[in-house]
Amino acid sequence: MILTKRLATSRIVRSIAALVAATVALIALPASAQTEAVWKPETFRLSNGMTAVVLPDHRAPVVTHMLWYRVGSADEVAGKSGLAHFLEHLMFKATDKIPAGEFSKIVARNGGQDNAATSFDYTVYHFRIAKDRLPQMMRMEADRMVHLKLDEAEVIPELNVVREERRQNVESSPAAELDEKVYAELYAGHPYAIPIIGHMDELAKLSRDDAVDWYRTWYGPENAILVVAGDMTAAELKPLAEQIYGAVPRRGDLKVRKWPRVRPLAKSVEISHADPKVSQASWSRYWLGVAMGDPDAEALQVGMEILGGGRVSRLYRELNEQGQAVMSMGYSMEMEGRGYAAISATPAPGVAIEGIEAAAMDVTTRFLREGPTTEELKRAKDMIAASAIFARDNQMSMAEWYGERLTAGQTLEHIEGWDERIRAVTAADVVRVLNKYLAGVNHVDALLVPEAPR
Amino acid sequence: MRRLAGSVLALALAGCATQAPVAVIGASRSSLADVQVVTSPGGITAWLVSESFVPMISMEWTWQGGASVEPPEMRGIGWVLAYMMNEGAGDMDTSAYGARMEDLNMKFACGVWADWTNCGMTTLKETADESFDMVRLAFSDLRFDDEPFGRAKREMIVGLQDDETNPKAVASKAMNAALISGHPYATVATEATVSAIQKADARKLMAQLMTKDRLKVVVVGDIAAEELKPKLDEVFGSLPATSVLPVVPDAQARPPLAEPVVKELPQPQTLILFSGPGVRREDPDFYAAYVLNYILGGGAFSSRLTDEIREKRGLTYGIGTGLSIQPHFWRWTGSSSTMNDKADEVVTLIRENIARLGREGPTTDELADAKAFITGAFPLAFDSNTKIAQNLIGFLQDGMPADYVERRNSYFQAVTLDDVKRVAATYMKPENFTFVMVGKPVR
Repeated sequence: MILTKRLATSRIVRSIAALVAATVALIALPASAQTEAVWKPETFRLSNGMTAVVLPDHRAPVVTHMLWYRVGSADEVAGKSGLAHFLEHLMFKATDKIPAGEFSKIVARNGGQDNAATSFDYTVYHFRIAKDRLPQMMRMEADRMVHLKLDEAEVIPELNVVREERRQNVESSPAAELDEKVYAELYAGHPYAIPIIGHMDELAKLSRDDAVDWYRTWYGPENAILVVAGDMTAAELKPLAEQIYGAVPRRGDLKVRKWPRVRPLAKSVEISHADPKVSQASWSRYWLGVAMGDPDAEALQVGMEILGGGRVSRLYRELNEQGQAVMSMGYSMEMEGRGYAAISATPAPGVAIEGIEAAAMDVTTRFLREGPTTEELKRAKDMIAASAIFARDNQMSMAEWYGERLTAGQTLEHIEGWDERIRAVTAADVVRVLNKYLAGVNHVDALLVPEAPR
Repeated sequence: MRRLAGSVLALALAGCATQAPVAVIGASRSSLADVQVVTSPGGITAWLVSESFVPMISMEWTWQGGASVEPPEMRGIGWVLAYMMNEGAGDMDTSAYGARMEDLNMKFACGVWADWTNCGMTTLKETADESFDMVRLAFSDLRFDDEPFGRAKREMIVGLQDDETNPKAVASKAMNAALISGHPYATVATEATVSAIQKADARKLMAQLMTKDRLKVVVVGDIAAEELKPKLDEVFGSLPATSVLPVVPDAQARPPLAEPVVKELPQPQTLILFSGPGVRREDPDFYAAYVLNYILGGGAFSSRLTDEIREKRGLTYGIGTGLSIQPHFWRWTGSSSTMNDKADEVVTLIRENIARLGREGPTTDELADAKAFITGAFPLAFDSNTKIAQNLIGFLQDGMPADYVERRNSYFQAVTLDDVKRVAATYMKPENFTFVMVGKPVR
């Protein structure tokens, strides 16, 4: 099952379709032997240290251009929560060459769409546009990499936009409010405990100077990765990229990311969040999982797929089909610092929340003991491999898949070896890894419960 | 803010060569989608785009007729029927059918919407034969086993309970109640109507909705016309030739309300919905209205409402408008969210901007920008098999010919400043818009 719990917040709400496409990329992976030739990514490095990757797809005369910066909300300092995302919004304001408020309008006038997103781990800016307009867009992207101009008169309204974004996406959503509490416990002592969009009281105090500081500290070619998917080849892109991005001088003094390690939970915790807008109680359990690129990542993904990935998963068959739940799932999420694994269930009408927890854990415990059947293992691996093929249908999914991993420090070789690593997962691997992360390990339980309106 | 986007909105992207061409790199495909019209020996017609880049096949199909023909005492039956379509067929019960779908790496699901019944299937080329056969089985020998049938009703009832506190659902219900209460578009399922649904009713609805004469099919992917033809007969051969559908009347909107309808929900923000008279898809002014809408609130970061309410004043994270062109009710709609004590101010700003656009009309530059985006971004909707299939289904539902993809931009290019000014003068009248607020607006 797919969740958008990765928590990137976008400059504007993306369409449902785009969200689905983006989440497909989360579970999907690249490179099966059959189509490797056409999807073979090409890569090169510019003289100023910027890395570029091209994912060719010549079906339509269209490209998806994504510029990834290796900086996210987890790089913020205490008291400045929300700054990474705020600067993301401000990157659309002005430079010496681009008048205030014109950035996105120029993109649109050229038939393009633009947006950006911030996560714990990265900040990414993208265009989707007809191929022949790409050079002009690249010039604008290169321009705002080092020449952003921030006027106080634009900074304040934008801060209010971000505060409305928080009201809309977090404070009007009981599930999102609960998520913030879960992260605060699961990642206590680590920056993942702080919401990407920021705490409201800290957001209110962010200033133009904070934004300028952030920009100077983190933005520059040596901290950026370019991913272009679509009607493009490395031979075509390289001279353009060298001319446009290669001309941007290195900052030379950019900060290097340093995070504390994610610490194991000192004890298990239960969080209950009551809200009059909740009509049906639900229960979730979170365990710390793997960092992106961890050798256990593939076995954990396969195991969670069998436990809770779809309608033939153990949780679905034993909870939904027996009438105990109306929703149940299990999944794992990889992040650069450390991800998590989770299961959740919403009880059917008349079933108590305590009952659903016991039932879900009963299924899980049995699975940890028995391991997958040969059939389950094969099906899960086939499905994950197929999802990689389906993901190829979408430029944006592909660019996100590669960009997210490259930004987390993985090599192209490692990213492309994913398919083989999934294939190599054995039943014994699944049992070992699931027991390592889920059995007898402290966890966070999250309860979302109805509350009578006051 | 695409959440109000209708099928047309999704298609209407933008921007032709109003700017001097920049350096052109490489060559590109001449057509966005090379649509072949394929007819099977049994007389089933499909639009096919053969494309082998990804070894997959997507099929989307649709029938005119949907939830608005449901018997009022069984509202929700369309949703339940759609749920059952992949819950077991032939000798496979729900577990076996679900496992088989996963083994074949196929996705297959249906949805019953107000006016259309839609299904989609995506599969890998290597399992295509077996996947088509699974769909055939669903349409020729669908099971209605007790367990999934009960589960469907249970899930729907829980969903209806969630809707009670979901701001968008609350707002949309309130708007319908204010404008067209009594019309099928405005009647909603309840626990009682869902509980009343019997299997025989669902089977009857299936025979009513899913017939050969109203079927429209799109296939995109790694399959040739000659391979597809026999599949069409296999999959759809057992459907009834035709059926009688109840006539759904056009909705007649009540007079607009001077004051917003307020629905209280405990949250720090107020969701604002607004709705005024719009145009039908068949209206000659549709294209001009579409362009005008981009200028008012259709452009993501390039619209008057976004400029005035988000960019200049920071009052919202998003504001957008769209043309809602349901066959029996066509409206100009929009939405935004703002903190509770700014709700009135945002409504006033929306009304003022509608009024100004109506009074003055758009500028020459705004018209050029809108046309540039709407025509120039059109190819972005054709860069994946899945998107091509969904867009072509939209064209079929709109009654467009197979070469519409080639002609569509010319209709937008033909829109003149006089056209958009005339449409603006007709529709941009704030007094004709009804507003709904959901939250705790301070008034």
